[in-house]
Amino acid sequence: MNNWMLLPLLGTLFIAWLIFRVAKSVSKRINWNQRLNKWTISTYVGILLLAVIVYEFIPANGDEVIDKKEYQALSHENNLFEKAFGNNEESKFDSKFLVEEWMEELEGDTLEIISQGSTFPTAKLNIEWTDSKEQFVEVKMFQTNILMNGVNVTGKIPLSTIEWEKDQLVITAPKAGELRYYRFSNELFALSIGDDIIQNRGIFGDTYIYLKVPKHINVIDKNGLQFY
Amino acid sequence: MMFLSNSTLGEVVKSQVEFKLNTYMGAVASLILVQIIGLLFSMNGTGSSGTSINNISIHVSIVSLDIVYIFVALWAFVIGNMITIKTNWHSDFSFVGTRLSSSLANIIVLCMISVFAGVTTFLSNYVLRVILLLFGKVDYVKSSSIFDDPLNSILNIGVMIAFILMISAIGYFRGILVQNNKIFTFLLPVLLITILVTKSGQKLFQYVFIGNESILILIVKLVCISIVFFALSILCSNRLEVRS
Amino acid sequence: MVVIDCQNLQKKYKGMAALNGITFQLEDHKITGLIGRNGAGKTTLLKILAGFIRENSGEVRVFSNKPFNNLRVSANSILVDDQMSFPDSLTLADILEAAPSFYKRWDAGLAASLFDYFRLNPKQLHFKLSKGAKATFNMIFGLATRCELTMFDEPTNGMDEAVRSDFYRALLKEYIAYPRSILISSHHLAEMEHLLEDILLIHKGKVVLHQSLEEVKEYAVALQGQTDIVEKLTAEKDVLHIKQLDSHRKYAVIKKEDSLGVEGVTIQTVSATDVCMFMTSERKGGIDDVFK
Repeated sequence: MNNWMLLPLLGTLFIAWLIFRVAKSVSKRINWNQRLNKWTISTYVGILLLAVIVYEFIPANGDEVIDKKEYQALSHENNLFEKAFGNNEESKFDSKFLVEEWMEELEGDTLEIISQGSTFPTAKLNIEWTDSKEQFVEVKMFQTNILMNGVNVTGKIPLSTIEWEKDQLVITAPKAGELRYYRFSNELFALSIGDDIIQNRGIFGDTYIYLKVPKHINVIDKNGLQFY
Repeated sequence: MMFLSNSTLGEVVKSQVEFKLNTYMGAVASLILVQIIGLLFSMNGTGSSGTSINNISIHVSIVSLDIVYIFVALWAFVIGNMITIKTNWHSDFSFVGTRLSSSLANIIVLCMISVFAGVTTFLSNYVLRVILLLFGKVDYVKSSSIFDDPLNSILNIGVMIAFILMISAIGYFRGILVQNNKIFTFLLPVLLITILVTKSGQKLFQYVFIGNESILILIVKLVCISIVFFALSILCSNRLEVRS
Repeated sequence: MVVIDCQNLQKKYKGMAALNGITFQLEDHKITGLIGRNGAGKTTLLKILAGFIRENSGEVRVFSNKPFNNLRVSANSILVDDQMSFPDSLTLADILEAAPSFYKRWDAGLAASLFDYFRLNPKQLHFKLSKGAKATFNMIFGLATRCELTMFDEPTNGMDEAVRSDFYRALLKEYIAYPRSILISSHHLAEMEHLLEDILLIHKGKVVLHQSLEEVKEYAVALQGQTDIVEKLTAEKDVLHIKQLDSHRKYAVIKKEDSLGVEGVTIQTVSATDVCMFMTSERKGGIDDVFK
């Protein structure tokens, strides 16, 4: 705890104190009677209870916040996948991450990989060289789990699109967009107990493109998508 | 022949509690105002974090109880303090009572008010949920409600009640000290800042509030601190002179 | 039965002695006037009896209990004064409604009819009352408690003339219907002389006189006549008050004794008010001494 951390706290306290002073002087002028007080309090309690019930019936359009075990499992899955992906162990890929797969026939002997639409690569790429003498390239696209503040947004994030143009693999990043979520907490931020704070949970998965390319094809990866 | 009525301590405390609940009804009603102000401030979310994945920025606003709670905690301090001001402390002596019975009644009333404040603060979050969801155009995540996780909810309510109780106990103690001697008005803030700035003071704070293994332990600690402050208040008020 | 028993009671405020060895006993079911000048210690004494403040030394017993922090004393006694306070949030009606749960002998009927009679507004807040209305309300509250020991400290302060006489009348009627021990302090003895049985006169924190009103009235006599004769008569006696009427006539007050009949001197009775005043004055000649 730094001593300087006290300053914003003291500032908040001061503002709140001011509000109290104003409220106090205002309340002295208003002549509330006891019956009005009782009525106010019971109405408020009624509204609170109503809100609890109404909340139950509002449909959610986001994925459930997951509990700790689920979170750890998802994180583990991502790690396993990333490892397998890097080691070219296709058999170990979790099939649930597979988004699409297809074959494409090349015309020439070069395959150019182009990434556009984003200054940063939006996908990770790995190539498995095959002994095939044919011109076919096999493409598999995966997306691993993405979690923000405990919100599972895996399916909500649009993926990069992949197009073939004359022996070019063009990976286009999705248009810039925004996802906004409200998450409500029953707990006090300030009193969050232990090291596992749900607000801090994040799993930042990725889009993976796995290519199976015959050995005689020359791959040009200008944007350096290929990490491995 | 004299006919003396005899009242037991229990009877008197009971009457005083009923009387005080009636008296402080307005103060309790002011809690609603405090909570509404807090709710207005928390509209934008207590914690908001964002990141960008695939050109998509994701913002998750977490609407928690913290801001409302800070306001309610301050309110609790003010209430604890208010109970000791002269008109309130002296009114007890227009009726039947001793310093002990008054103190006990004050403590019971503060406990009751704390429970009310804790529960309503917890529930006030749901008002915000409903308002934001019905009138806002934002996606939201079904967060655990009271019905999904009753045990945890109860523990959370418990810790909030205990914390409010502790703050009100401190406020009450401060008020009693000031009634004893006005010098404490200045002395106490100085003392508090000294404690916050020194190393050992910070260690004490960390021991109490940070690194608790479970919420239950924290609740027990908070209740114990409250009991200490209330006990000190009883001792300090037992010699307090009235209408002097 | 003794209601109040004080033995050598002392109380100091910031080094100044407010009570300086008060000793007296009060029997039950009497109306006693606590008389004294400003600063004599009346209020301090009443507050100690009510258990509001604590004595520095000496013994005080109310219903055989020490009043400070005693529930029995609190339940059976009440001190009505202008500092009596009630919560700011409660109306007068709320206060009267709350009282019966504290005072077991609370007379709601009496409170209600007095309340009506004095035209108080039940929706009014206590702290917003005018001085006179506050005094009236406090008096109603004090009477309705029917406490065995009911104490009034300058109860008529702020009341107008009509309310004063109503108050004394109400007090007397209540006392006759439901006898209790009433201690009523005032520096204005004359207006309440008609209802007092006993007088407790204190001065500079000490009891000067504690006797029945009849005895106080008989306590002293005034001699008026030629200066030399009056001086001769009072030479060896305790003179309470002396005044030069004109060049050759003098007026002197002395403690009453038998066989004072002397020619040239008229003997007059001295009212209780005057007795109290003379016994608590600093100088024998009163204010006249200043202008000599």
